[in-house]
Amino acid sequence: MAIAAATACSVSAPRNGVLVADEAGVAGANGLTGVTPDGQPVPDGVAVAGAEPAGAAVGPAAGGGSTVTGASGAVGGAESSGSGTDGGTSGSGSAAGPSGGGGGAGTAGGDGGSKAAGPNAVGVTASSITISVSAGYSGIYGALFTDWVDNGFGTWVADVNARGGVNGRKIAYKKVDNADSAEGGVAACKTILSNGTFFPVTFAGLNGADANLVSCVDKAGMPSMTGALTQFNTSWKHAYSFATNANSALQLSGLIKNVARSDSQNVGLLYVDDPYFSAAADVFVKDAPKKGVRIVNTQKVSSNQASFVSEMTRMRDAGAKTVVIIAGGEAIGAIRDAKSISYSPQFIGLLWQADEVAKAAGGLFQGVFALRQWATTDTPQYRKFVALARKHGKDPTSSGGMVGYGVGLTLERALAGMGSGGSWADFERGIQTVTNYNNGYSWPVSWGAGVRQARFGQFPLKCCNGDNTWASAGPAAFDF
Amino acid sequence: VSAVVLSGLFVGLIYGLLAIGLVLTYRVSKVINFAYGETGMLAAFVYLQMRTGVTTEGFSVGTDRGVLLPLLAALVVGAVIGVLLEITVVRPSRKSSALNGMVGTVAWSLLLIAIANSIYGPNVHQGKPLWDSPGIQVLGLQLSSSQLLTAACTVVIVTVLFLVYRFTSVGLRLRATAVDPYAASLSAINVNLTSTVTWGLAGALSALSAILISGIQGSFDLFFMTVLALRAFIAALAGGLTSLWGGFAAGVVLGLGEAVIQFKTPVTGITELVVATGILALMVVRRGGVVRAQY
Repeated sequence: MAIAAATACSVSAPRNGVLVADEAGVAGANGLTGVTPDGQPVPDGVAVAGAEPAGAAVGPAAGGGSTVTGASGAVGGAESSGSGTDGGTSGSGSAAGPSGGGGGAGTAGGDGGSKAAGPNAVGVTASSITISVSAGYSGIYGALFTDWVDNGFGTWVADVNARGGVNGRKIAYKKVDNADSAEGGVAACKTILSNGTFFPVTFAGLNGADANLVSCVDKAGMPSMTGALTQFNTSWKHAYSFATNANSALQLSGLIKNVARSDSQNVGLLYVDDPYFSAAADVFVKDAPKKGVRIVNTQKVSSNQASFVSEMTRMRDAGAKTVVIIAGGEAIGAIRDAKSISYSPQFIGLLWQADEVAKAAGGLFQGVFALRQWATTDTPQYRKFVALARKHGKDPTSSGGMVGYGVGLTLERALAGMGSGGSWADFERGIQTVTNYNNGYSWPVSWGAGVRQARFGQFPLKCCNGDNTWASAGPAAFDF
Repeated sequence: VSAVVLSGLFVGLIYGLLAIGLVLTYRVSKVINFAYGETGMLAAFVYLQMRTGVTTEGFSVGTDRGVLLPLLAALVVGAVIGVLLEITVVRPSRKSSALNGMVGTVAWSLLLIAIANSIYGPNVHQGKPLWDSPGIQVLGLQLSSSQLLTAACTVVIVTVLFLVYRFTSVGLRLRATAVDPYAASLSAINVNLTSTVTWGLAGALSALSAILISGIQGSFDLFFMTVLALRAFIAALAGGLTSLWGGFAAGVVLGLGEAVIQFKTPVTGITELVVATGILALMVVRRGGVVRAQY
């Protein structure tokens, strides 16, 4: 299957751009090799356990530098037996089965893969699961995402392994950089399809990196779990989203009316004219009337605009008493310039709710309400997270690490739901067992049978705590 | 409308201030400094680090350690970068082509971004104004102390540069080098030294501009000067790249024009469209800029 996947995406198994960390957040010695829960190296691209290619796929998925020969038409997989030799030089399998599984059998580093047989996909053994974790590590927000993954997701990995793993399988992960670019997303996909991992979790990818990655692995039949897509493409067959930026606007009306208790009949909307933000703005514009919220003025701005006085003047003149800002760092300039013309509506924020932005704004955001996908620093969850992270030798630099940790907890549910199975289909069934799950750290999510785009909730925020981080305005909920 | 115009004026002052630095270096070397914004950006980070302490994550703002030493250090950093640019890029290009020099400054801009990224990280940082007070209300617009300070600094810098260029022997040497470096050297003017000092001065000016702007914006990142520098290039170009006053005035007009267009025509991107069209028209109709240099 992995080989078929590779074919679907014209994979030539590139190895560049791959960053790998072990469960303790320490990069592998050669920068390309991950570490199993047992501390054994995970060779890049090694197929683990049996495989189920239709026809006879030979060799591991680009494992160990061996020549990969994959039979076309492997989709559909095989309930197979597979065999391979150490180093993944060859493998074979037969018989059809559910989707999932590797393109050939090989060996896992230190795992005795050559003797393994069964329906497991690449990256899965009876005792381990290896997954790819993708984000724009080298992009502009690379430091932030690295923190989320190393200290957040890494904390979950360390903790779940300390608890014995999921269904007895310990977790290892490999970081795959999508470089926050469309081509970076495709490159990351190619890496994922050939690095011996079971499936990818993507945290973020600007400029279409995440969507391209998901599209590519989806064509290969590999399931994916995606955290912050701009928008979900309903033509995808195996992609599962935690949340999308677009649909995060669905809770804005509830926030305005029931949490901020602000004027919902004179609402202004200011957003950055970029697909990342405009997708959410479009959703809000369509959703607001259904929920009794009236938008009286809309202003589009450019990213990195020098002044927002014009837009804020128009907003004020239109009588907007509540102003929703869907933007990034531009929110700082917009609120600053509103104040400079003595315009003080109730500001509501979406997509700029990281503590880092609030801190960078100084006290400018005082009184602003917002939504975000992870808990605030004034909650018991944050204290628990920090304590757990430190116990496992991590050093979270921001509350955003809870995204990674919460995603891990959610993933744990999904992996638990797949039982002892190890195919992609088993995993997809596992995801669909996760319903109305709220761990208090990250998005409440609910999939269910046949649902791939999770219904999700968010945390209501009000600025700010004494250190200018966002304060909690209530528990996370699916709606307000 | 008055608030919009006033706001545009202050944005224009920033463009003008940056344009002056570009004109300074172009006059003396005929090389456009594409690393001008990034020079200031790195210096602004140095200022912030020395004043408050920042981490790579960039959000832990510590105790205020005062203005003077961090400001001085940032100016020195800016000046040193300017000098290095002159020695490594401009001076060699004098024997070849100014185009080589320009490409060299592009390389430097990437290098400076990479350095800043590795030390300070890519995230947004809180700006620390040189002067922090409530400011004043003028024509319905609350002007921050940073805006007022920027305006004052701009006026002082433009005036001092004008006086130095016009009435001092240093200015005479600068002008002579700008008009004809070969003839200047025959007149016992050390062209290399003159050029180096000018580039160093421009680097320090970029540093000061960046610190002032980061104070106005309240926050900044690796690319905050890049966008502004683009506007400054336009202003400098309109000023013929050789007239200090021309570049400055074009910057102010650009800021005002943007604000008015933005207010009167609430269409996203219309400002950029009008500005780009204007520049193209200028290039066709008056290639030497609106204002000619008077050496």
